Amino acid sequence: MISLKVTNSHCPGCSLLCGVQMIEREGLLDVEFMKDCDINSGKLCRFGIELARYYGELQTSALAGGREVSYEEAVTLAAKALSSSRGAGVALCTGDATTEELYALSLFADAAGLATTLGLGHHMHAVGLEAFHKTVTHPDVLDHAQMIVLVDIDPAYQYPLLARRLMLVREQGTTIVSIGPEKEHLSFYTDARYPCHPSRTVDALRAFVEHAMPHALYVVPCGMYGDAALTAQVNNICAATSSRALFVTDFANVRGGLALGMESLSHGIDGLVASIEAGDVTSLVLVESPLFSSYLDDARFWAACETLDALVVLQSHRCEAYPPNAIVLPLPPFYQRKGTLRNVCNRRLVLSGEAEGAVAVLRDLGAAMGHGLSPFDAVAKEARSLCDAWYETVATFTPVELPPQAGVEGPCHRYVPNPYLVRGMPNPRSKRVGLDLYAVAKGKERYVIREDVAEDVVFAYEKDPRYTLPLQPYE
Amino acid sequence: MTFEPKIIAFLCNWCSYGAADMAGTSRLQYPPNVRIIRFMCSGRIDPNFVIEAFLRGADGVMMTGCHIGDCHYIDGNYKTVHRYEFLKDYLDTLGIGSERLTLAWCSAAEGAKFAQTVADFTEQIRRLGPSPFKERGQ
Amino acid sequence: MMGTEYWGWAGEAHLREHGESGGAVSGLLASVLSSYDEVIVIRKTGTVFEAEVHTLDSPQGIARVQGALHAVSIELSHYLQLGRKTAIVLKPCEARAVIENIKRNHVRREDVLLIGLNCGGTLPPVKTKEYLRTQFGVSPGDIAKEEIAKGNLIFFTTDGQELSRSIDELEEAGYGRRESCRYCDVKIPSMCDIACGNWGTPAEKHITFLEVFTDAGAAALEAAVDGGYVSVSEPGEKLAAVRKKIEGIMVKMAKGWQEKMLGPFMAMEPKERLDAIHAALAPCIGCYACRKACPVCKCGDDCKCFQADPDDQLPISMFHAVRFLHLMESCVGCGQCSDACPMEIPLAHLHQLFAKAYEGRTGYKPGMSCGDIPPLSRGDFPEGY
Repeated sequence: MISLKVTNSHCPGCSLLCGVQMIEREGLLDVEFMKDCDINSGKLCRFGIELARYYGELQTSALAGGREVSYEEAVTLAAKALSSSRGAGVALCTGDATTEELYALSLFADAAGLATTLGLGHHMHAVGLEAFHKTVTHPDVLDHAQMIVLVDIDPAYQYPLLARRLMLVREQGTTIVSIGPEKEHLSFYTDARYPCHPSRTVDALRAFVEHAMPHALYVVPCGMYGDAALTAQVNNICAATSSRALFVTDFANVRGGLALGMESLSHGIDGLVASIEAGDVTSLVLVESPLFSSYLDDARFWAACETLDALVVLQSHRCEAYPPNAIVLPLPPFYQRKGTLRNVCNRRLVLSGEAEGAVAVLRDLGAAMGHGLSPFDAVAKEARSLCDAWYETVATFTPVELPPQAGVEGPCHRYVPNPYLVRGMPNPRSKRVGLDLYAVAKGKERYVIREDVAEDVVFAYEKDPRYTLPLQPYE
Repeated sequence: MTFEPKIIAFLCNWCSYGAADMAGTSRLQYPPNVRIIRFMCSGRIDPNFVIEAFLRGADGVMMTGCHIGDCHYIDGNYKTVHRYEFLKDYLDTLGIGSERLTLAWCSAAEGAKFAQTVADFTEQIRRLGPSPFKERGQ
Repeated sequence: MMGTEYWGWAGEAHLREHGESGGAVSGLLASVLSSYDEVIVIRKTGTVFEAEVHTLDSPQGIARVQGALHAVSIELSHYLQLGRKTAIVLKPCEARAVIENIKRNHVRREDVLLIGLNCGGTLPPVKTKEYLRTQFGVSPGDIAKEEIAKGNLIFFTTDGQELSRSIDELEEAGYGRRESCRYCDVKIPSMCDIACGNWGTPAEKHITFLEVFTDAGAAALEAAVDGGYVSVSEPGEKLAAVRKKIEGIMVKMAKGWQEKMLGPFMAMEPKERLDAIHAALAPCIGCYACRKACPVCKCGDDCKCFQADPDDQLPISMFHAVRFLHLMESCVGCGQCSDACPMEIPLAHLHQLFAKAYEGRTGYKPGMSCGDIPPLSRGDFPEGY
């Protein structure tokens, strides 16, 4: 008979982890709407709708020295490279892995003498793991806040299913306020907007804290290139007003990794690159971290990676290219794995696949290096209990010192959010946006300059002023 | 300042474009508001072109072609009629109004008829006013 | 066989007892398993809110897919493939979508056996779960079954309680059925080979009412009866009339909801209506989920709705404008678009606005018969020209 396999899964596009059903039918993959999922009621953003395309771009074979090798050979080479590396090593995952895989990574790193980091380096350095931990205590936190403050985020652009939740709670009476650069869709779900230049958002926040309600909820985007100073300031406001914060990331299960203490570095990816360039870090294990295709300064990162003694990459989604010294070990796609996840609202979710994923690969790698890893179920049990225990602790915010902030020059209204900050989001049907905006976006800035915008026009995502209400210009 | 309508006219290569040509060679005057787009056959007019014309700022759209029975491709203009009828319902429901769309048959010898049709339609649109898409801040 | 209407039930005792209304559909499925390449159904995977599409490949699997699921609205018509002989169990909206796909050569009529189910509407799962939690303090796992009967929505809990509310009351309060179900006026899927339901059957007697519409349906039913999979009898005359009456009442209710939901739009002045449509579409983020969810949108990546660059700032995007046009002749009112929209745009209402307006003026109703030629495909000599 003809095969049709349905896997209940969660979308790895961001930390909301929207429910989605993956349908495999004679070798073709498609998505089905999981309408009973409390997170998204089955709805998906552009990334989720195109998940089949994303999952179709798989790293199917192991690579070493730029050519395809067998998995076993790659494991042996990787083990050798890591064992004989001269200096310190780092294991990094940006968050597209189950809690079990992240735990396996931290165990592997312990045994192999590597430092571990989740791909949120700046932010954790700014506020410490504690602030992330103490953010929310209940999956329905969006429903319980009386006031929600959006800080430099336009959910409709990056996290539409979050925008939807905001629209729904606003109908129930929650006040929603936005601080930060003016963005197009904000008018659909905010009661008041305090527009300001990206570099002045922290100051605006500081001023806002005088008017801030207690027990509010702050929503801050927290990707690799987000503003650590913003994160720190929000943390301080939460400490001062008994509020909570949602640090929304572009990767699936950062929150699972937070619970496992995976931040033994004190700096972010920039700092890591600097350490590599200085020769302090000589080996790097990347798990599901597409830094070769999504890191803004990828030329510098690439060059640094080429100097490493050992560069081991565990990857399911294929990068266009890898440095020649990379040893690439393929992982099964996210939806095929088994394990647990925690989304941005602390919801505990399950991936219903069957593959062990990085747990198996790290076991093989460890075995080749002479240290063992327990079978999956034992690893899973420990990982889950650590994670659950961490999340059960009562939250408190402690104020921190703000890190120095890199500002952006020029009038705010000439900026659009850098499309590289979100995963593949510029409209695939767009003929014009793609090339010129990508070219500009390759500069290492959170916002990119659009020279062809008229004065006094504020916009977020190329909405023509002829057909929108004129917004008040600000300096 | 009186409103000057922007009219997009879709003409077929054989009959209606011939009619426009003849109006020209006969030095017949008709309003300059019309912008002509030539197709090989009125049956090539995809309803989407009409929609796009309105969305891009046309105040009125004309679909023109050969008389029924005279189509250079025999039955291309049958399709034109079905699409025109469908578009009228569409424009009425959408709220643009089917009065902003017209269908006219002009044979290549009917230069005067073409000029008159354009003039009449231009006046009709002038009376109707600018397209409802343009009434904000323009 | 005797006529086109029957009372039917599964021949096999276990299927009869556990099947919905006597398991005639289950019996039919058991009978057709061997003569079709694929049999597509829905299978419950957990609570009454959780289900997935499923291909039946053995008689043993039938017992696991028995039972009506009102809180599931997966659109099964997507799973039909050209050239494959398939039997599929469908609600009227899904069946209408299949008919539209047949008209456009995405499926061949003779390849598919359409086993239709009468439908009064389905429930949105998350909203319904919220309702159960806030009104009754009941969680999804506590629900054994749900039913829509005599104007009431009834939940049967695992510990034997019956939680019942009037559908009207629920829907006035924003709960109840999905909005597109409320004004759907096709309750008995006459475009299928066989329509099955429990209207017109004696209560508690495990009997399904079967109406056969095509020769293929008659042949399938005959084969099922001959093979002992299904037993049939003449339907009681009075109850058969009751069935028609129930249908009439539900269609009348649907017309009432149509007036309520679409009426205000139609009553507006054209400019006002255009502004309302423009405002409704303003939150659109261009994810194209609506098109993905739509069962009649089968154009593929080079669809005309994509012909304009989405960065062109048009008052209404060409994507929506073109879909309004194309769906004016093909929208079956399934509501999948509204279900899929992350910005909660009432797309189903907007598309039905066009489709119902067109139907009102011309009588053309999508999805009712393969022989109806879609208006935009017509090339016949135009009358009156």
